[in-house]
Amino acid sequence: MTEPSELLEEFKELFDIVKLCYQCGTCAGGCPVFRQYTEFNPRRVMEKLLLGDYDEQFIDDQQIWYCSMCYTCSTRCPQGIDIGHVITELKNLAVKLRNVPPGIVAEMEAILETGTTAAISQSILKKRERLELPELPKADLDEIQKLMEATGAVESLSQIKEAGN
Amino acid sequence: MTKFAFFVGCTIPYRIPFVEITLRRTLPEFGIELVDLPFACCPDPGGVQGFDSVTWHTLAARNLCLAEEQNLNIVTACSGCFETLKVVNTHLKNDTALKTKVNGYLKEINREFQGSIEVKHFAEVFYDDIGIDKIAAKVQNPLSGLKLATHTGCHFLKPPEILQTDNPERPTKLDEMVEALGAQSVPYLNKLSCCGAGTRGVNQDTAVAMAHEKIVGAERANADALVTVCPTCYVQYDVGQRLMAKQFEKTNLPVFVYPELLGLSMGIDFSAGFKMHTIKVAPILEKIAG
Ligand code: SF4
Ligand code: SF4
Repeated sequence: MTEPSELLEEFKELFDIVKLCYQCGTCAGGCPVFRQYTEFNPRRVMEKLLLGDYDEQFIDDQQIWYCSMCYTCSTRCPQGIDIGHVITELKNLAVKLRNVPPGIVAEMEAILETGTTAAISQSILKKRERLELPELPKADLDEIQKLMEATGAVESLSQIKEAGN
Repeated sequence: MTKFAFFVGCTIPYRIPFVEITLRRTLPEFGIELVDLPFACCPDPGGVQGFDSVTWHTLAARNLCLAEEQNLNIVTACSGCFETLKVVNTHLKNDTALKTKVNGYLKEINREFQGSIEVKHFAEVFYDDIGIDKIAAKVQNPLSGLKLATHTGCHFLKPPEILQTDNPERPTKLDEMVEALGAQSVPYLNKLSCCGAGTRGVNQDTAVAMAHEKIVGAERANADALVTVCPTCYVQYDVGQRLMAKQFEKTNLPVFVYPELLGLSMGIDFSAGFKMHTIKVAPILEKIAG
């Protein structure tokens, strides 16, 4: 596991991206998640980074995972900050702190085990037949597993499991 | 015939396969040949990129390699797959350090990213390669009188500096594409807003509320149906209306993916697939039949 002190260094790198933020709130104004769920506010995420208010607690409440990755904020920020990208980086850091919603872990495990995120049931295969769809060539799972081992994703997943997440 | 590697993704083949058949039937009518390759998940630009950006790039690069090895450009059936594959393809073509890193991992499976192909969304193939005039020329049963709320969706448009498909704040291609079929595109509230699927895995209620505000906007604009070019948005809006009914007043707006309507206007029989929609589309079919 990455030491928290190393993670702080990575937070500081994010500060370099967000330091031009002048807190205008355009990002929050266009954010479709914020409109429905005000606990998640991209401007506040930027504010915390600007204030250096980043510690493990910062990403501990899983708020960042509410971001739907629509990039409306990134398209509109008058300072040209790619907020969607910053939040993705924060999610990657959260994973290093073993702080991931179960749905995301399940998705990663599905890809590792089946190469796809979809459950391939008998009924869906019947539906495909009824629609006269061809059988799709299967991905080589050995390749997927080798790649996910090489990048460290397999290791991360097993540590998250151990931490009981 | 122009040949493409067909990247069909996970959601379409194993959740809404009736969308897959519409692309397999319509694209060849315009001289496009689709080739299936043993692709894996694109992978998901939200979940997998959020988990680990390097793993996201690496798994996407494997898919790109399969098409490169066949000398084929990719056409995607899904906007999420499009975003992943086009963004990763562009990153790896332009960032030597990242390419070296990813190729280091790909060596484990004896593959190497070259950067020799392009990635397109099916809507780009229809609009940019085939063109509105040729689409209009194939229409046998015009969808006259049909009012449609178009939802282009985020992953087709953004990040715009890489995807370069349409104006991210004022997209018009899908509107032109439905009007080529004889239908009318109607303006509606929150037309540009996200469907909420990206939040589904974390909080279902928020995701459902995000989709709901769009359905309500489309209904208030008197749209007969909503049409999109993204299967994930489709699921949010069509299957999602069942979930919305638990939180909000019931809505009943039929939802389509563009090639379904294209096929319909071309006189291709997609009736088996239309029965698989959650919100019944029969009233629309009757309206068109006049
Ligand atoms: S839109 Fe840009 S400058 Fe304005 S608050 Fe958001 S990140 Fe800061
Ligand atoms: S990318 Fe995330 S933070 Fe930005 S507008 Fe979309 S949901 Fe909100």
